[in-house]
Amino acid sequence: MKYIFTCLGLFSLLLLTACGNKHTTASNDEPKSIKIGIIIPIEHPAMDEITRGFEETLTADLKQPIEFQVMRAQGDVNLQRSMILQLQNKGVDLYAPIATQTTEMTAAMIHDRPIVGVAALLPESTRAKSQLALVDDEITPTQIIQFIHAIYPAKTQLTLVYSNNDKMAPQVDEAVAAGKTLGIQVDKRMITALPDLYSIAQSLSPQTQGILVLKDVLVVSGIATLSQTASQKHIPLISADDGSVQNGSGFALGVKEYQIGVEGAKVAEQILQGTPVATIPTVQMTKLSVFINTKALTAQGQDLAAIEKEAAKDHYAIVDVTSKPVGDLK
Amino acid sequence: MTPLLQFEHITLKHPSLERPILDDINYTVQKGDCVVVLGANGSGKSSLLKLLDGRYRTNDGKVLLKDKNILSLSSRTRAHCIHTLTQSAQDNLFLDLTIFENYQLIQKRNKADAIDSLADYLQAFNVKLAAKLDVLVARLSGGEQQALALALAVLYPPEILLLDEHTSALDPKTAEHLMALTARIIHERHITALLTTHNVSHALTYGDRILALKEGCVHDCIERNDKENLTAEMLMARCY
Amino acid sequence: MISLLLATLTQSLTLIPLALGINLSYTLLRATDMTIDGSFVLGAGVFAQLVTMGISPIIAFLVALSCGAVAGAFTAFLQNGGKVDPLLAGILTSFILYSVNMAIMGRPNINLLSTPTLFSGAFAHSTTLGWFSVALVVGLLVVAFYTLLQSRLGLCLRAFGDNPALLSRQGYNVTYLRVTGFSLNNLLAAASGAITAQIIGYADIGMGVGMTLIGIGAIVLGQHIILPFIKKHYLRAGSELLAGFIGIALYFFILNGLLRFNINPIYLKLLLGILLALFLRTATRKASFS
Ligand SMILES: Nc1ncnc2c1ncn2[C@@H]1O[C@H](COP(=O)(O)OP(=O)(O)O)[C@@H](O)[C@H]1O
Ligand SMILES: [Mg+2]
Repeated sequence: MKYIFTCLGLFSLLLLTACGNKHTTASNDEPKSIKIGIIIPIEHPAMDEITRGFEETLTADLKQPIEFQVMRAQGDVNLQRSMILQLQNKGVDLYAPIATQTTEMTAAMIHDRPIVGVAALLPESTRAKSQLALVDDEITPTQIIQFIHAIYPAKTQLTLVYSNNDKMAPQVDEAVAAGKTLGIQVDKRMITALPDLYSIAQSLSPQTQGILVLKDVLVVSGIATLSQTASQKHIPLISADDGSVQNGSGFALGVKEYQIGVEGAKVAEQILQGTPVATIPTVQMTKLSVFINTKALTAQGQDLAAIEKEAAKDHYAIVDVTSKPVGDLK
Repeated sequence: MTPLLQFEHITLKHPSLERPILDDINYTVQKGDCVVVLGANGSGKSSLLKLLDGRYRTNDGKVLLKDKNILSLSSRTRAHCIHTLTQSAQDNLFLDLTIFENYQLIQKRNKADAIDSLADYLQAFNVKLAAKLDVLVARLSGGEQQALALALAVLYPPEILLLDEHTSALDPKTAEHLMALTARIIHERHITALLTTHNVSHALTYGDRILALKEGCVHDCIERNDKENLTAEMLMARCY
Repeated sequence: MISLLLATLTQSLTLIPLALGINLSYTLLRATDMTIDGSFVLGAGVFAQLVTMGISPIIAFLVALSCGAVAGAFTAFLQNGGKVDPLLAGILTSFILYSVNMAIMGRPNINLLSTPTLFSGAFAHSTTLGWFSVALVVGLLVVAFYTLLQSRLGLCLRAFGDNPALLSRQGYNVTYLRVTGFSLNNLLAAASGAITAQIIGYADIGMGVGMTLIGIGAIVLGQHIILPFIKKHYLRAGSELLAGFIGIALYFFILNGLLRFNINPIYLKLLLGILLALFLRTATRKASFS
């Protein structure tokens, strides 16, 4: 009993002194630096890459001194809420929440400061109530199908493996429709759990000329199974993120996380230079990258040159991720 | 006149035991009787009472309450008719509730009018609890707990009161007091009682009739008239 | 300091219904009900889905609460007349609820930023008015819950937690009481979820993780602080309620306070975990004394 009160008392005392100190140091600070609050929802190398892209670009481009306040919520909703309040308390000038959920929370809580939602997929209507700008990091299945068609104009049969995650359904529909317009028949194969991948890999249609995987957490986690099949059949395994390429997919059309941060920083820059937030359109990722795994491509009997040629035509950067750890891309 | 309670060919078995716990028991209880059930530990006394308050079900034979099979009664009706007190307080009272809350639970179940003063009511049971109505039952002494349990048990008198060694855990003097109190209350309120005890002199003093069990069977039945001539030693010899 | 207190206050406010629910299950029914992790999300998800479909926020809120109650009833039902441990039944329900929530929401995250909610009108007017309206709804729940605790049902629920066998022998329907108790506590958790979703601007499939733990930790601490001062047992219901408020507020006070120390975020969760462990330890100590 006494022990609890003693602890609490000590804690409050420390807190008071800590707050007090901060005020005195703050008043000593002469040049006014811009404070930017970055909110990271979970620990993941991709998040760090985005953050790095954001910080480095903004530091390089802005003339004024910048003070980054990075908050890491580690998957805890309550903690994340406290962190946003704490940033508000520190008088942050601009908020840069990373990922959709984080952006939603910031937009719900902060109305008097600009927010740049990085890697956030939100409908346009949500921007009305707060000063919210968005960088959308998703690339569409249509872009991928078009890229595949450009590399392999003769292919007419693709198998799309996806999971029963509700997020996937609209993307799968889009992929099928995009295939149709280009004369490619997309054969849909759904899994509900990881073990399904094996049986699907064994029972692929003999006519299929390639396997396609979208940004689908469940399927990507079992990409090695599909990689084996692709090697046996000598057909390409194509995906939409760098991680799956490292683990055995031949190549992927996607975005570099670092680049997402760069786009976010550009938006932040515009806002800080006075552009009204409402006039800034949602940024789509245009700087795409082609991730390649040369070992996997050889195993799958695919020609790297054809891919490189198409990538160059579309100004996509080629990133070789053959046995490179995740998060080490730049 | 139909008897209040009839045991007809009662057999109770437990899968883990070879010998039945109760074996072909036949016995009849009239309204107003105070029947003392005697027998060694493990002879099946408690089991016989548990058949009545719904904790055990017979494998064979039936228990009739006013000619109705006791299993056909709803648990609510049965709870109205039959109330059990055992030697352990947690079987009788909600230990983490106050005296008053324990009273409320009984009163509300019976949908009866609340009594004017619980303190006055308890006074009649020789327990000084008037100042402790807002105290958790767990904080009371064993004697107080048993007296309170008795007081609450007869608040809205049940037809049958089952007393399973309800004085066993008390010191001799308190046990004596509680037994005398119990006997007075059940006579005053014409409550039919089935009482188990290991105290043969209590059995002689307070019981109208005595039923002796041995290894699950009826060993001996002593009726009102026979009881007069018995001494404690003779009863001991006959029943154990 | 004032901003710290304000942060604590606003964060506690949304979790007060949850604290009431955990008070009911943990203190009255004496069961650790893990269903709460799932029904918190269920409340948020149902509310978000319904208002997105254009249904009035009041109706959506009421439906969300009912869904929470149904989840609780299911946990009670799984216990099969007291034969299955409530902890296991709760874990099982929240396991199932993950799929149910996903099915109801249709996607892992529904945003409410531009959707009218119970509080959106008030917040559009001013933040103060917004929080006032939240406090009003929470206050209503608190009053309703307190009235319930003081009623006959409240007494029966407490007796159920103390000694279900005796209660059953006294002729009470314990199955009914179990279902009522678990429904009510999950109804309150769902209310907390629905309110939280409106404040943070979205419902998310993962937003309930650890809620039970925080709630129990907070309540245990609160009770440990306040109950020694309460000598009169008829004040028990009120003081338990107060203990819940104090516990939750302390948790957020400490959480927000820690953030102000600029502690390395890697250690923050560790510290919070140790803190919760300390909260819970105080409870075992108390138990061994009484
Ligand atoms: N639920 C049970 N499970 C196993 N054995 C039981 C059970 N209830 C009673 N018995 C057995 O039945 C016998 C009679 O028990 P009981 O009625 O408690 O005896 P008494 O009350 O006369 O001492 C004992 O041998 C006891 O072990
Ligand atoms: Mg016995």
